[in-house]
Amino acid sequence: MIVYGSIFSPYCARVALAARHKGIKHTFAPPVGGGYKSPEFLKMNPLGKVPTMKDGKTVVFESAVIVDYIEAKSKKKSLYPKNAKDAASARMIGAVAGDYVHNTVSKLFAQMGPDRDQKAVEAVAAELAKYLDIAEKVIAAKPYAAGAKFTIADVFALPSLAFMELFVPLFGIVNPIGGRKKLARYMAKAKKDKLMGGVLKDMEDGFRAWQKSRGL
Amino acid sequence: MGLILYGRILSPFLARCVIAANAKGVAVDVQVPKGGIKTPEFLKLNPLGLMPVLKDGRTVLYESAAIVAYLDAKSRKNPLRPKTPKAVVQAGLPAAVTDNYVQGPAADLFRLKRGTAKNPVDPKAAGAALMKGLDVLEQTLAKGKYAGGAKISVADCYIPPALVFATHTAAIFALGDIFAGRPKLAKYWKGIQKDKAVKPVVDAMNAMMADALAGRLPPLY
Ligand SMILES: N[C@@H](CCC(=O)N[C@@H](CS)C(=O)NCC(=O)O)C(=O)O
Ligand SMILES: N[C@@H](CCC(=O)N[C@@H](CS)C(=O)NCC(=O)O)C(=O)O
Repeated sequence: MIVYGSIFSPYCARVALAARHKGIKHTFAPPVGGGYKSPEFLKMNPLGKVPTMKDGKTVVFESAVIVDYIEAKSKKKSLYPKNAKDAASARMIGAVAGDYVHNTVSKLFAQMGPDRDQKAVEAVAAELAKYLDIAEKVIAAKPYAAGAKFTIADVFALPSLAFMELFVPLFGIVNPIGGRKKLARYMAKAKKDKLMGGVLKDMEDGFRAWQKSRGL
Repeated sequence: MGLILYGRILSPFLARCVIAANAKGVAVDVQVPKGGIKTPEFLKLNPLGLMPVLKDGRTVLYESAAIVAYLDAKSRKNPLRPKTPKAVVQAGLPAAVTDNYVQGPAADLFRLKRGTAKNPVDPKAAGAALMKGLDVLEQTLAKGKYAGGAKISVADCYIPPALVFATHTAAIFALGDIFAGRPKLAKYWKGIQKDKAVKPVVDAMNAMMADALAGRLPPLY
C-alpha cells in the first residue's frame, strides 16, 4: 500500500496509525507527478489532496475513508469498540479532539507570512482553548482516548493534538494543553506507547524538516 | 421512552440522522430544544452547542457521524456501512466528499442569504467551491440506484440533505443548473427523492427552507 503524503500532516498520520495498528504494510511517498495539483496526481484524487492511497488498483482518498478501508481489510484488531454506544463515543471523542482542534489550528496557515495579523492569531488561540476544554471533558486518557484500548478515537485525536503541539508555538501560543490534566496525561502516555510514540516521533521529524525547509 | 433527536430538520446534519433512522426502521422524535442550542441545558447535552443531539434513555450522543453509526447498530435492517473494503469505499467516498466539499459551501451561501453567517462569506468563492465539490461527487457516485450501488448506505443519508441546500442556493445565487453536465448526479437526485427513507426528509427540508428564506424561521443559535 502506498500512501501519498507526509506523515506530519495530521490527516496522513491518521492513516499511519490505523495501518500500523492493523499491521498493514505501507510506505509514504510524495504525490506522483511532482505535486498535489499535477495532472497525474489529480487523476488519482480530483481534490489534489493528501493522503491519497493506492493499494493494487484501488485508489482511495479522504483520510476517514482510507481509515475505514484499512479497518475493512482485516478483521483483527478492530478500531471500533464492539458495543454500539462505546463505538459512537469513540467517534465523538475523535471528532472533538481531532476535527475541531485541527480545523481551528489550521486557520494559522493563513498567518505564516510576514504580515501576521496578531488579532487573528489571538482569536485562534481563544477558539482552540474552547475546544481543548471540551476535549479535556470527553477524553478518557485511560490511557487511550476512549479507554483501555487503542481505537478510532486515537486515530483522530492523537495526530491533531500532536500537530498542534508542534505548530502553534511558531505563533507564540506556548504549551497549548496547559493545565488540562487528562490531555497532558494522554500525550505523556502516548509518547511511551510503542505504536503512538513511534508515529509521534515520525511526525516530529517530518515537521522539523518541513520547518527548516520553510525557514520557520 | 423513544429516541429523541434535538434540533431541526433544516439542519443537514440532523437530516442525515433522520434518513438513517428511517432506513433502519427506528422511530425518532425530532424536538426543537427550548431556548435554542446555546442554553446551559443544551450545552450540558452537547458542549459544542450544535445540533443534532440524540437521546436514547440515558445515552446522549452528538456529532452526526456518531449518531448515524449508533442508529445503524440499533436494527438489522439495511446495514448502512458495508463490510468489504471495496464497498466501504464506494459508500464512504461520496459521503465524505459531500460532508467536506459540498455541504459546507452550500450552507455558507444559505447563511449569507439568510443573514446568519458568522464569518464573512465570499459568494464567488463559495459558489466555485460548491461546483468543484459537485464535480468530485459526480465522479465518486456509483451507477446504481443508490450512491454506493444497489443498496442504501451512509452516502444516501449524507447526500440528499446537502443537495437540498445546493439546489436552493444555486438558484438564489444564479449558479446555474447544478445537474447540467453531471448526469450521474441528475439521475441519482431524481431517483433518491422517491425513496421511502429520503422523501419525507427532503420534503420537510424544502418546506422549512422556504420559511427560513422568507424570514419566518428564527435561528436556534
Ligand atoms: N478532508 C481531507 C483533508 C486533507 C487535507 O486537507 N490535506 C492537506 C494536507 S494536510 C492537503 O493535501 N492540502 C493541499 C491542498 O488542499 O491543496 C482528509 O481528511 O483527507
Ligand atoms: N460536526 C457536527 C456539525 C453540527 C452542526 O454544525 N450543526 C449546525 C446546524 S446545521 C449547528 O448546530 N450550528 C449552530 C452553530 O454553529 O452555532 C455534526 O456532524 O453533527
